[in-house]
Amino acid sequence: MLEALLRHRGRIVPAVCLAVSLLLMTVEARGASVPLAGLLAEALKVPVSAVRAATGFLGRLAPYLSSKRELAARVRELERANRALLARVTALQAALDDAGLAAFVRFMQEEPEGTLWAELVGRDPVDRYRSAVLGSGALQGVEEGMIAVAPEGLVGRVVEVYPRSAVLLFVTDEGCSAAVRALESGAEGLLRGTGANSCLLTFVDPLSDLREGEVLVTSGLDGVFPKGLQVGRVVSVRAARGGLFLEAVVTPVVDLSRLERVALLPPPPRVEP
Amino acid sequence: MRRWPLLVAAAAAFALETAVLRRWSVPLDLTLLVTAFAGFLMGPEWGAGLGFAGGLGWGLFSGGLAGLPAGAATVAGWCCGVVSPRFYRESPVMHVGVGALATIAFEASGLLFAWLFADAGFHSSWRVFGAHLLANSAAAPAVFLALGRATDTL
Repeated sequence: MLEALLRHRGRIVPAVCLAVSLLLMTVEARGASVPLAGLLAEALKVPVSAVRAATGFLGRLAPYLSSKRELAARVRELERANRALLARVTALQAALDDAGLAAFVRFMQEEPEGTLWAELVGRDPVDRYRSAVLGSGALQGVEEGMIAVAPEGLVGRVVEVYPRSAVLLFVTDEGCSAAVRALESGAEGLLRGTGANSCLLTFVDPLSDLREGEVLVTSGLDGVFPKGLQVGRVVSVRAARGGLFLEAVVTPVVDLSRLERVALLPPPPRVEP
Repeated sequence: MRRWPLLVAAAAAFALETAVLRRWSVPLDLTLLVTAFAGFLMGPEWGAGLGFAGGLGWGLFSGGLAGLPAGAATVAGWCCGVVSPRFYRESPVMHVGVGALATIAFEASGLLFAWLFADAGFHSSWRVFGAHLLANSAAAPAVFLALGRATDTL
């Protein structure tokens, strides 16, 4: 009997389950309550409530986990940006080295020994692009021939020194000249002030490829200014009178009309011929 | 073949379905998939028995005629058990088909019982049924694989 039941359990169990289901449906459809239904329903609520509480806890935990993920993603993004910026800085540093500007950048970063800072306390009343009076003099260590620079580049040089003041001659003064070199084309020439807010680049090789917009730096060949200081930017290029050389109008990189403070570098050491 | 993991899985599926999936309106019938697995890989008596128990629990918990989902799930589990010997059991494609068969059998028998016993609350819409059909069919291979590993049947 038992063996027969087990052998046909594939039919018996479904039939019994279906019969019980139909019986339950019949009883419920007539409005009667199923015995123990309330008790069973209450018993089922226990595991369901447990799972609901667990998922609620996980739900409250989710924002913290997601914010941690967002932070990690943000850190990765910033690391990528940092790497890109480092590469850019390295490339720019290499470009600066190539351009000869590295000396000036290093000076601004390190302030070489002997550097003084001086305030501008007076200007030429006739023309503000010729000279200025510094509020420091020999007592503060200022010497004749010192080179005045601003963060943007060359300003001029000290031509007169008094105990508590000094006269600074701007690169735009007609009496100031400097040997310079164009960064891109490599063209060299002599830069002279015009007395206005511009300079004139003269004695430029006519075969050179000097162009408008090029940056000029001191070449150091004059023995007056150190090598590698930015001076100005080429505004226009033309053939010089007589046609043997090129000349160019140059605008200083430093806004001399608003200058308030300069750094004074010791003049480059004299090289005996 | 181990049987106790199946009972644990059925209880967990029931709790998960009622506590989480229905709450978030996820159209996935985990209990029905466990029933389909039991019927397909362990025989129609297992499918019908587990379907009856799961359906009854679901009916008691959610209100309405408790016997209706019990009967519908019994039919679904039995159907999966009946078709089992005719097909290759290890194929994931077959598992998709069995998931779909269980859903269709559950819906069809449920509709029949609802018509017989005048319970209008069983069927909501064909759109909902379609969503359940798709979700159950899609999830069936993963559920079957996990249960197969646990019960040592796959």
